[in-house]
Amino acid sequence: MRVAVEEARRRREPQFVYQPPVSVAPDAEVAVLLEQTIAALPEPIRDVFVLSRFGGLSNVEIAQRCNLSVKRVEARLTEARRTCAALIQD
Amino acid sequence: MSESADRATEASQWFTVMTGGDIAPKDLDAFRAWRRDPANAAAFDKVKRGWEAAGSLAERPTITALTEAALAKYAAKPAEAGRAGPSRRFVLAPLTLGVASVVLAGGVFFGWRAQEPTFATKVGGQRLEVLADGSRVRLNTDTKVKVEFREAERRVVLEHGQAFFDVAHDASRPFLVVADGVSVRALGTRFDVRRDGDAVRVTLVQGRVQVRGADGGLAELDPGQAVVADRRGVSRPAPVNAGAVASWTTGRLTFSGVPLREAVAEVNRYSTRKVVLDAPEAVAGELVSGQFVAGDVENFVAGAQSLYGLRVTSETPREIRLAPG
Repeated sequence: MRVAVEEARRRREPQFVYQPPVSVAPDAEVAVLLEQTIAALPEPIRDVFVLSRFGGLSNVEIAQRCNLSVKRVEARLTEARRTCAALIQD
Repeated sequence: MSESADRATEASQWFTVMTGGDIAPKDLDAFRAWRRDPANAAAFDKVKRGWEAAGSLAERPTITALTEAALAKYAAKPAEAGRAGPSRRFVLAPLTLGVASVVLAGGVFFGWRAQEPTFATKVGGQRLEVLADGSRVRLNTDTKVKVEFREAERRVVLEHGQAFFDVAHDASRPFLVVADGVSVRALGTRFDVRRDGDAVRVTLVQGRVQVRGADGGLAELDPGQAVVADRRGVSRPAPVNAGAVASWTTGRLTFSGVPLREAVAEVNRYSTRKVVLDAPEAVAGELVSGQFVAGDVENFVAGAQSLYGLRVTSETPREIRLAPG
């Protein structure tokens, strides 16, 4: 490993600084499954999840917009994330 | 079954606690104790990976449609848009007017206000906003935009930071992004605008845009090209990896042959905990390629340590110093 790095350094080739310990982009099959799973979440849970994950809203912002308590928002996110996690391989 | 189901729920609950903002010291201790069990650590890792994997779906049409629908259903309330600075008169006026005029005044005032929202993100934040015309704006870390839609044109001011625009086509009403005297004119198209100090970088992913510099200079971009505009004018369009430039929209940063010092600067944009590189030019100039999750400073540091023989010389909540070891 070390040798390969030295070698690459000499050749001034770009090298991977970062190898994510886990793959960031899921493989195509998992991605499709995940997409379907998100789409199939019960609407109240799905709305909170997409506002958080893709809308970039904070839990407080979601609570305000949806007329929910922050606790309720957190509970829905917990439920949605647990469902997504179940699709991830060990 | 039930044991692992409970564990999965617990793991998700901990993830919610750990990402929810203020973490109480007792929660942190309890979390560490809980995660000492390898089965718990694995369950937590799965939740984290599921969350990250979901993030990579952001640009898929199904997901985009669901997000837009939810954003439209739960539009920002005036109180929230209040950060955008709507006049307090909006709140007070209806109280002093008759019922009939309340509807009218409130409607008109709100209608006018709704055209002028300001959206902002903090360091490490990202958000998607769907504008009144259906155009989408995705704000990157530490960014502020002001939306000024008029009858004749749609104008968005990039006060600072970086944003990705997916513009709804409307030939009769041009879409303008203005940043520090530089304007980008688009019809229906997708492009990225980033302010860095005095420079404004425009990268076109799809369609066609025209960039006008503060000096009046003009450049037209084809997809896959970028220009840099500053007070002195607009550069010639140059080919770039537009996908890499826009990769932040899926929560990832992509480097291809970028000097380590620049990679560090980029990583720091997404984190309040900054990486400080105490390394000679020979190391700081090493070329870096790779992809990683924006905001995950600890993993970047781990990678830099193992590949460049760097070590952490000091670590505080505000910074991590790296030096040749």
